Amino acid sequence: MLVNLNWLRKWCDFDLPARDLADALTMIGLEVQSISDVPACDEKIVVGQIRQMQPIEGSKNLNLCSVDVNQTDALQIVCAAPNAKIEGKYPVALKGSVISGGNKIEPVVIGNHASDAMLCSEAEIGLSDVSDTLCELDEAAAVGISVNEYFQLPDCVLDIDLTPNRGDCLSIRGVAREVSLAVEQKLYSHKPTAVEALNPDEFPVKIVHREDCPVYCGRLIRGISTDAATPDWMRYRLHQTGHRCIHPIVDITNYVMMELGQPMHAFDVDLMDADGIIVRRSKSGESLTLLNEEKLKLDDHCLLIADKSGPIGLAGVMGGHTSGIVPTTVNVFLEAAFFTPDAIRRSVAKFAVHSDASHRFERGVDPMRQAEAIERASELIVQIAGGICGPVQEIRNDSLVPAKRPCLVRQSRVRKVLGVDIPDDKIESILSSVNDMAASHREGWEVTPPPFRFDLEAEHDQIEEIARVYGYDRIPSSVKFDVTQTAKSSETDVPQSAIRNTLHSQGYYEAITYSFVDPQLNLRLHPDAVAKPLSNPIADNLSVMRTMVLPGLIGAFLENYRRQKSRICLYEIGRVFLADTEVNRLAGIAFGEAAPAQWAVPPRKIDFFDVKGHVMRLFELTRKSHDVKFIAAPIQAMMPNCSAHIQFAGTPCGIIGAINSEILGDVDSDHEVFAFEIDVDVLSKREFRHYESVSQFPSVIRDISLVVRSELPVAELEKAIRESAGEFLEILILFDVYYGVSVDFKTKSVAFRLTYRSKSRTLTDVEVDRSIAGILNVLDEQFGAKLRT
Amino acid sequence: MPDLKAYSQLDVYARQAVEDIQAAGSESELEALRVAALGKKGHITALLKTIGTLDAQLRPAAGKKITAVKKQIESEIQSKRAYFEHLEYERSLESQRVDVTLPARCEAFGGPHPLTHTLTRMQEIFSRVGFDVAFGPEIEDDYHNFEALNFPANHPARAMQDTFYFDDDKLLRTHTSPVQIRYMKHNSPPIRIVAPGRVYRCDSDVTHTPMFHQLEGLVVDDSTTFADLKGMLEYFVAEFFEADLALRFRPSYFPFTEPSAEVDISCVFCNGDGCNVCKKSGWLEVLGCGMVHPALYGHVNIDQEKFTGYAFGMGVERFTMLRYGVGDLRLFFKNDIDMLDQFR
Repeated sequence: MLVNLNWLRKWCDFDLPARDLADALTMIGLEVQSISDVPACDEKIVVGQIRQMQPIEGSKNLNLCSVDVNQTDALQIVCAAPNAKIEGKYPVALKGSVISGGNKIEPVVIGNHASDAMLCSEAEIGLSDVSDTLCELDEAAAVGISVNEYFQLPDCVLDIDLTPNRGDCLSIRGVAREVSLAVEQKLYSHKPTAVEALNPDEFPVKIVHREDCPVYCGRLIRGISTDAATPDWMRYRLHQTGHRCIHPIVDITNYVMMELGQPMHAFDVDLMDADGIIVRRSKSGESLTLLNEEKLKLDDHCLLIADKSGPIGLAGVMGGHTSGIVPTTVNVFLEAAFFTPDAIRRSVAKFAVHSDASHRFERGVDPMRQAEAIERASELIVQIAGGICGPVQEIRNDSLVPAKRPCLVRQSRVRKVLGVDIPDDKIESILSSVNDMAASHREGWEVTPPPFRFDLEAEHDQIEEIARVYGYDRIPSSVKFDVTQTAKSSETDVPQSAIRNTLHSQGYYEAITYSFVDPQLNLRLHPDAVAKPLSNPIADNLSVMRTMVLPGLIGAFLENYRRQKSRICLYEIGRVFLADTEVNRLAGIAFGEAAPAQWAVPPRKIDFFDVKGHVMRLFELTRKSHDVKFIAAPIQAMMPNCSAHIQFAGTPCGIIGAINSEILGDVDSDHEVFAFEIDVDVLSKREFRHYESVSQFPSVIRDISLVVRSELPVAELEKAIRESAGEFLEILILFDVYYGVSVDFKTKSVAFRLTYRSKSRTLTDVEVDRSIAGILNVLDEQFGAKLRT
Repeated sequence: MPDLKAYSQLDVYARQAVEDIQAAGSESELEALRVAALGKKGHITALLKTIGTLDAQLRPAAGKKITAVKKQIESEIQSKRAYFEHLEYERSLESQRVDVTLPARCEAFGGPHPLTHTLTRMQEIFSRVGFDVAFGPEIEDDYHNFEALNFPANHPARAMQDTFYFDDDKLLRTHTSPVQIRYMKHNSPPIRIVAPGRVYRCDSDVTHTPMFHQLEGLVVDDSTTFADLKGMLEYFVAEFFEADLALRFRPSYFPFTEPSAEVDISCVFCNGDGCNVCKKSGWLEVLGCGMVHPALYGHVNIDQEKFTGYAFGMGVERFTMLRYGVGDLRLFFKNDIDMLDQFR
């Protein structure tokens, strides 16, 4: 909200530089976002009036003007502005003055005519950007006074970012109340002069849904002038506080809203049904076209201003386009109501229409001051546009007005929450400056908050008031904790950092991608999952919750691939969103060079066994990597010839393979991209192990080389060897695989190295040979494996 | 017959032999000299064979003499040979010299995402003062994300948080604060947790991404005060930025805390003097906090008379940007390896 300091000063006298005032407001909870200066003009720019004006012959648009600036002689000024008029009053930059932008004004000769001074635009006196027309001043402006005196310059505008609980600060008066608290200065009260009702006419008003509109005030004003203009002082204040000037009556209602915080509406009664206004909820099927031409289809819950013919405005939000003030309006009905926040929020939520009025009603306006606003607006209308007022009409249902109940503020509670001993008299003075009433009580104080403070109900609300007015910065910091106190952890936990570090040391960078992904990509990668769609996605390709981490990671891969990175290894740990649960997943993607280009290692591309190794390293963290199985299986996301399920301790927990090239789109088909995705929680526990004694006896090593069918999974051979080797087989290593032993490639040769060792004695060749013979027997029986000769 | 002349000239021979050995230019020359002197048909070998033919009286002296010459020649050959071996060793060392300036053999690098790095540091700082880590679902319901956190339906405070919805009344959490409710429901005071994680808001522009990260903190016990909250956050900021930064607590509004505060730190780029990052104010807004609103305790069955608590929530992206001078929030989700590599 924009607030100019000269207006604010009329409500609270503060004697502080703008920046200090802004800091004080910020520290009391009204965050000042920016401070804009409205600088003073040169004192030699004064109000002037054109007395005579004649076109200069031979020129297109130049006029020779005689301008009165309340000096002995009138000035002669050459002027080209289209809106220069005889008797018009404008700012005049006298000889030697400097206009906004820095130009110095000196007498000049234009054509054959001397020009002593210059008539100014709003831009030239620094009020706005308008530079092609003269700044027109009020008829009442005193000729000869300086523009600074006329507009009360310099000034300064604060932009305050109000939190939604402080609807009471959405006015000059509201901000002034806070200024008064912050700088401990007196708040002025301005009671509007009651305008006498010279006309007995009332405009009928009927409230149907009183629970939505507990207070409604109105007043009929007849015979306003259609020639009236909004005076400069009001235009200036509206301009500085961010309002456009539209029509004197509308400007006045905006002005009063800005001044007092009460939104107002003015109707042209000649455009309405004479039976008057009905405040009611809409009926389904009704429609309404707003002032801004937006057409609304109404339901059963919107609060309306209606007349006999139907809706004429969305109550407290915006008027309809048929009943508003127009240039020919002469008879006006003013409205100042208290619509409940709930009623207005319903309309705002339904139609997403916002206005200055709805902004205030949603947050709560003072339910006691509708009549005051009517009086203030009437006073200004009569003064500016004339007219004869009717009586102030007020319909109140006090039982429906949110009541302010007394609340006990306990001294002990203040201390328990804030952790500081604020002196009693200080607390009392804060409570009484914020509240309507603060009385001493055995345990503290009993206070009744003012009706405009919708945020004050209970004791804790009052404690916040005490804290903010006392000053958060005056509450000392307390350090009660012990800096060596550490959260508990178990040795059998595998911290996520260990998982990450394992990947980092194997050349993976961590990526973080959005949890919402492209529905098509997710479906192609994971056809049997139902990805939850967002109702209001930010983009079509970010519209479902991922059921795998891979879709986002593939996106990150492609981003880097397009940047021609020679090695792209990325991983991500995050949630995936399945039917009813969220699961923590780890996915990795690997492509390109196995190692950085270097002289001592021949270049090589990452292959499946690199990536399998990376995954095995992760399972090593659990110390149960022997429980991991890779089972060849077709997976939609992977190439049919390179894809596997990963099982851990018999439970499926992930997949691995080469990503299906169809999914990768424009990636070169020679480029293999590998990926894995596993449930990361299976890695979270590590086996606890006791020490095992180390054998002091020598080991016996045997190599066996076997010829088997080429499609036989080596894991099955390994399993059979382990099962048949006896208790002394310590280490089994596959050290060679060679395809194409036979001419037709139907066999392969695999070579194992077996290391035998006992913990209690030296093994003999005979018993090792016996074990090997047993193994060979089993392998021959089960797989037809022959010893290679 | 014994060659008496040879005996008599033994000294001359020895002198000559030593001279020859010392002058030998190669191992093969040396070997030839050895064969000539000590080989099967060598001069000394031959002389030794003739000792038996000498007069019995002459024999001991002659034998002694020959043996001495033999030893002398052997020793000369030995040291010459050692010399050649040493020469050979030196030569071979020279030919196999390691160029220690050649680049090391190396494996590929990897590293954590900067946001993870920051989150890890944050958790570590809080873990040192006894905070546990808690998590909650990212797909939340209205109750935990808003209602139990004291956001009334339709309240304008909800508009501060552009929410992603699903068809079935579920939503993506807009903050990590729902973890407060979930944790308090199942745990009794004293409570001391941080809850890190992803949060979502329907907003995307230069300074907003639809997904970002927060770290929530919650402390509830029988004696926690606003003063403790200030002390804790001062500790955290000092540890995180490794600097004594000024903190400013400003009154603010969150439905789930009261009193509420926004916390500014003195600008880490200009030391509070005023720069473009802090918009000349000297302050950077970094987090929101406050005393747990009593309305929350009602939802989780904690005695609001006996217990008090505080909560805080901070943007992980914001802290990362300030700490490392990252200018553009959106970079975090592009995952450009060149960017990631800087945080390894």
